[in-house]
Amino acid sequence: MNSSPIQSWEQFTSRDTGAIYTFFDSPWVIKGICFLVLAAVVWFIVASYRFEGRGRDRSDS
Amino acid sequence: MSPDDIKLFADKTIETFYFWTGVLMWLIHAGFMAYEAGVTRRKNVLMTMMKNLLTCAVVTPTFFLFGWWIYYAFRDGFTPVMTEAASAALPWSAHMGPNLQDNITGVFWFAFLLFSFTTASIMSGAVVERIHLGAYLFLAAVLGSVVWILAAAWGWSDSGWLYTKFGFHDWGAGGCVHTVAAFFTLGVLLNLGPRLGKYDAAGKPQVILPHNLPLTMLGLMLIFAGFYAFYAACAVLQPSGPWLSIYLTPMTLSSLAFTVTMGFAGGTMGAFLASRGEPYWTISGGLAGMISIASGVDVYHPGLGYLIGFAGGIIAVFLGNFLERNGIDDAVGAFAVHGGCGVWSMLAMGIFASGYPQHGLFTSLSAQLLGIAVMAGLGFVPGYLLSFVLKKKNLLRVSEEDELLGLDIAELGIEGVVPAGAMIHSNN
Repeated sequence: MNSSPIQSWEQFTSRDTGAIYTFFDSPWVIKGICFLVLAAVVWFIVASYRFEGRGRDRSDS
Repeated sequence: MSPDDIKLFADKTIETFYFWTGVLMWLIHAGFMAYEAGVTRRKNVLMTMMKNLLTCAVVTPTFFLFGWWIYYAFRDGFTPVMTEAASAALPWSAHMGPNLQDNITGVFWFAFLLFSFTTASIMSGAVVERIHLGAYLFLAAVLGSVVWILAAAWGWSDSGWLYTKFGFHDWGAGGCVHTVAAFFTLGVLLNLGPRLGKYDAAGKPQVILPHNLPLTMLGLMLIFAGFYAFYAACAVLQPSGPWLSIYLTPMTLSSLAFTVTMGFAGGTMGAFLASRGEPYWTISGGLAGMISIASGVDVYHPGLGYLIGFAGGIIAVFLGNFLERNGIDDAVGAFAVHGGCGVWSMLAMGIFASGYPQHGLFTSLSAQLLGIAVMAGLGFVPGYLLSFVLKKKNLLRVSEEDELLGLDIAELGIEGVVPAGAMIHSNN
């Protein structure tokens, strides 16, 4: 997947070049990535509630 | 300041920077020591820590004698080429000692030496509680002073063939350090076999409880701290212009502040979810995440680094459990964390960050796939063959009697951890 916002060596080494990160020239992809990060954090926090009781359940049985 | 003074100041700044990255990388080895000591049973704890200590001792002189030279002489394959740089890396060269005209060689050597310690230490945890100390130290010297540095010469330098011919990109050494060490370790584990009692008669894996999981968790926190220095040492500081990667492509130090930390967070969360909150795998997931982003730290968006780390945490848990079910007793999950995530790191770079210019070439998935094959093969073959020879000579594994007794008593004659309330005997 070509995700580079930099197209040439001259552009890469130019003093005027700023952001070089993946998908910089595809802002909607970056927003989608940020949404996935948020979804993972929410999933993690919800799951951490579910895992809390596991030890007690195991010791009860 | 005169131009000469400015140049001298720049040289000293570079010298100071790499010196301190090396010093801070020692945290990784304090961490490995605590991590592995915590994982082992009480009867093996001191011997495990001795092994970590002696790894650093044995790799240092071997890396001085030939490891550093290998890095400069083998850029094109298996045949050494005596370039000026290779000659300067010989242990009797004017550059390999105090030299008022050369501020840099010693500190670069030191930083690379600490990478070598890390590579050898990756194997050490996997083989604990049953390997002969001598066999381990021999294998550590080969891995730390020959195998990984040959891989680095090929794929982690600006003139190695994997880079110059194919555009392979592995910014933070996910290939030459983690993948090479893990595949070498896998080869050794196949010959070493599992610890006694690890599998029942039906071949079902049994849980061998760590004797001190809090110590293991502290060890991993130290490793995390040391890894920032490891990654900082992967960046090239130059007197003018931007920071450079080891391939001399432009980058910033802030890229690793963003992405290494986001990778850590993703890996920890991914492993927590995949292991259903198991503490050992959760904290190992942090390391899995930091390794998973290694190849593309210089160019990843931090959010992408988090997601790649998250996937790495999941990969480590599933791969670790898969190997355990299939008869590979890797006491610390080293192959899962370093091998699984080292390969994932190179692959993710090809999938998510192709198209970056690198002098005449561009980063690509095909170059990354070639790099994976080379790194895995270069690690596995010597690890398997050398441990096979040691096994045939009965030099690889301690006796069954010593293993049951515990290596602290069997090999050192003392207990590393004395139970609370134990009687104190005195000859007086």
